[in-house]
Amino acid sequence: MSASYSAVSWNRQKKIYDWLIAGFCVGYLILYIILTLIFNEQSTFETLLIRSTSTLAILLLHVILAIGPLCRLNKKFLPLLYNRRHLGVTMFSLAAIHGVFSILQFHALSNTNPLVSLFTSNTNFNSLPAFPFQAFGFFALIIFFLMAITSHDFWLHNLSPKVWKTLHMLVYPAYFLVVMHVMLGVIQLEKNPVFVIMIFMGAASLITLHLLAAFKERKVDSMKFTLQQEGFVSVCDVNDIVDSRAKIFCIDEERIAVYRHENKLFAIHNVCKHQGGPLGEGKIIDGCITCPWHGYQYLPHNGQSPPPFKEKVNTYDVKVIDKKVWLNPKPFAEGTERTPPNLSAAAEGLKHKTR
Amino acid sequence: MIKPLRQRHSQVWIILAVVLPAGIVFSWLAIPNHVPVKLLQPSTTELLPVIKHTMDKKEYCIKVRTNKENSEWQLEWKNKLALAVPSAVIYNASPEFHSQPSPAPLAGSVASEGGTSRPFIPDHSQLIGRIEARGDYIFSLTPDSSGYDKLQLVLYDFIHQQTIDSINFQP
Repeated sequence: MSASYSAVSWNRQKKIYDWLIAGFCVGYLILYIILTLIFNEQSTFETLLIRSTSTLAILLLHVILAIGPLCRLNKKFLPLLYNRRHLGVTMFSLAAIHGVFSILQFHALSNTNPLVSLFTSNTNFNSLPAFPFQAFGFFALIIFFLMAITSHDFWLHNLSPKVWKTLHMLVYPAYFLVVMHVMLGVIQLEKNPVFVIMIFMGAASLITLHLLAAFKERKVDSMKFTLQQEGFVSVCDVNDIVDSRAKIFCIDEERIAVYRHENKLFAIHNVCKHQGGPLGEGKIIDGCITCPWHGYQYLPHNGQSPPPFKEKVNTYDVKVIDKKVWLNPKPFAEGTERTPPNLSAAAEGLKHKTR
Repeated sequence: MIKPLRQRHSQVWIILAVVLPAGIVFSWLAIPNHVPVKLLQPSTTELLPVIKHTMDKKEYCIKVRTNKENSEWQLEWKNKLALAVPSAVIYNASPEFHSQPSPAPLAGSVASEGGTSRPFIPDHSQLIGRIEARGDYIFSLTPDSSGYDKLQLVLYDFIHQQTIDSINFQP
């Protein structure tokens, strides 16, 4: 967490994740090169490098963009989210190899500066098939570069979460630029519709996943709670909340996570201070509410990260009346300790659910 | 995520749901029907023994080669200097390969008999190959009934759509 910064804090899970990324990338590149040499013996080293890295970078970009909505639709995909930034930096590195070698291959043989040549060698802005598509790739690469160098938590804290998140949301226009770079570039030289279909299927899959996830989130945001009493609203039955897990409720446009742990109920703000992860979708590990995205932890009774960490979230009052959970949506200051209602008495006769 | 961020995400994807398919479909429809210029590799590696024409310029040395039976033909192109453009394409612009005049030529012109010039139209000329860096290039030529007594080559910069050089071989 944020007590101190180190270049990279490796743990077993990160090592496994990174080895899997490296293994997949090396496997893909070897397979691509072998297949290309079998079907096109005359391919040059530069062409192989340019094409293999570009196709792999596009594949990884699709995976990266799919992870977010997949996790919102199904928690089984959460392990993919844990080190998504490593996947992003890998994707940028591959795209950079593609970009550098393409500039060397196509723009370094004349007297003009290669970067000047990139923007001046083709000025057919009024022709779609002859459009200067390379500029699209260049600007996408600049965005990926900015994202890669700011992917460490150091930049998240120094730029502020708002600026950092805005910067990293540029991945969406970058994705559009990449698609147009491909469609107006290499696709214009191909008669085979397979490539167009692949790009279309990739874009359609991402659009569908993101819109489905947005629809699911909107359903949570539009929850209605009719039963109200002295500032509290009735949100659910105590049996609806599984031990060491939470349910999320959206009241007055704020999402609140109500956790059940050791027969007590705790309510905290649903948004993690790190990158806005949904705390209510995590679980209690070692007595702490643990964010499903990157493992940031908070004590359930006061919303504070355990020392030496300093993150705090809002807490809320929660009570139980006749097996019903009542929640007061008025937040207490971040890190304020609240006394949780004990379910022992009310739990009599309740059938505890298991994880 | 906080609610405004969730809303921003969904707004961005609603926009992408419109512009991405539109961009893909328009780009797909824009793919030209004519055979596009591709990076052509030398189709032959062994030089044929008989030299029919030779032209030695400062930038390149060009030879038209054949075998003793005149059944196979080659264009040997030695690039002495780096090109001033990233890559260029060689066309056979001889009249018999340039038989479909167009009212709107793309760029350049080539010399014609009688000292006049006629427009050079890449799509209506025979594509021989593409050259890039310094080096030796060997391209196959389709057999010619006249034995390539006359040959008119055009070195064309397809990015800027302009003729770089026009080379005429006369008997």
